[in-house]
Amino acid sequence: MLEAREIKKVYTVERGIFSGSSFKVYALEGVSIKVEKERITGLVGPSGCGKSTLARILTGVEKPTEGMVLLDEKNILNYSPIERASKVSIVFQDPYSSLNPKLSIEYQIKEVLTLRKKIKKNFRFKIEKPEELLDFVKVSSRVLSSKPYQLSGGELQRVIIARAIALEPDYLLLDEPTSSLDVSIQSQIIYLLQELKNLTGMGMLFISHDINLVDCISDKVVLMKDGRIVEDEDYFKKLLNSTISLT
Amino acid sequence: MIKTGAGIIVFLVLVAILAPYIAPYKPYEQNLRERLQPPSKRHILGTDELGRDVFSRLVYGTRVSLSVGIVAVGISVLIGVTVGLVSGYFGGAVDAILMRFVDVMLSIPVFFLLLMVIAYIGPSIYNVMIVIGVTSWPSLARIVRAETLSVSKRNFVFSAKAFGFSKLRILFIHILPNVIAPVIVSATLGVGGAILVESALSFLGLGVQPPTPSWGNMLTSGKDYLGIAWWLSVFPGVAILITVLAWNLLGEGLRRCLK
Repeated sequence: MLEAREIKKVYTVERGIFSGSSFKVYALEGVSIKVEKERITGLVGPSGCGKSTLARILTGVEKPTEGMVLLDEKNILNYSPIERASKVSIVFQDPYSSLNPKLSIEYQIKEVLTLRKKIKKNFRFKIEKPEELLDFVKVSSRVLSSKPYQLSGGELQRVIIARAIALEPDYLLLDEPTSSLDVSIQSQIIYLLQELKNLTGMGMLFISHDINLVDCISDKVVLMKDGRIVEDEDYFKKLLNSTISLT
Repeated sequence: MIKTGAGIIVFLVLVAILAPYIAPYKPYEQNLRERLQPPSKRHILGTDELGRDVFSRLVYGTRVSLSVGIVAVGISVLIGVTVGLVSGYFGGAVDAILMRFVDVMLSIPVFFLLLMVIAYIGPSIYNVMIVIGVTSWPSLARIVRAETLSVSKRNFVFSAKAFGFSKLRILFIHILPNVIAPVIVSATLGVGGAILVESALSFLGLGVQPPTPSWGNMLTSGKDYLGIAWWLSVFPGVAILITVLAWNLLGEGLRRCLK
């Protein structure tokens, strides 16, 4: 299980030289959440409520100000970076900033696939070539020689998902993976994610500001507001009825 | 603009490579009977106070000026890019220490520092290259740091960290190619600057030492005969002007292209 316990994150923001000293932004104020294997946990809340900050902290790359992230009952910061990468992976909202614009798709997939040889893990699937990985997300191997900006948003998001699952992680964090895509591509990605969950049994945290989408894909939904998890049925109903205000 | 600059530089590089085939005389060959001859069919740019062919020395001088400019900027880029990348990526105390050092370097008048160092270690073409390179990296480090700060916040860098890639890999494979554009522009403009500095040092007798021909020391030897042999100073001066202008045109063109 991937679990966040009482996570607090405070950023210190410097003011301009004429505006006085710095001030603090409380992005997360004691957030606890559990992501279980073989289940999709939905996390929904308005923009700026701290969803993405939480996702970044759950990867173990960004450290919380207080609290801890437990990965299979062990503090995630006690894992080596490569060991952590084999267990938790992340997909971001904007596909165009998620891949290095200067490197080809092939290079960026190969560099992740080389990590499979360094990780002591019994991989379920035999994936050695980039083409085999792209098969999982139903993308043609002709994209391999392209640079990220030469692909459509949908194709690119599939490539990013392929890269994210290359190490067969136990948990996949999806930070608004469909927000920048049009509706027909959104449904294809959602279908793909459900297929991948059924195929690999990985646990997913699906983050979005679209409560209807989260409600549709997730096994359970967690609501977030102003850096806290809220358990308020009225708030949930309010969100369901007024998703437009969230954006 | 970019084509003109690149065209002139390619021409100068070819002149430097093919110098033995282009120059009609050896650059050190003296003929005291033909001292201070004005431009003629025999010596198209005239001769100097020792009867050496000015055109031949100018052609060989291209090698010195270009190599000083390129090597000095190479050293400057190596130091500036490394300091900027490390400072921008690691931030915190590392950034503070490196940037304060850069501030100190930028507050020192570079040319006087150059004069002092060259006077101490002695003038030679290699010392000139090293000293120009070692004193001209701070502004480049500032540019790279600013770009690195911005690129480091992008998702693909976070993703690389999440995959557990080494810091070296993240810095040189993922961040460096994304910050290199302003470095190319700055370095190109820097070559022209380095050639000017070399010329100035040689003019003051602290650069490339005679009899090795450099455009700077040709200007120096010409200044004593300015009233009677204008060609000794004018042609090396024009060569410096055209070369620096070409690098600046290329730099400016690249800046527009890479925007």
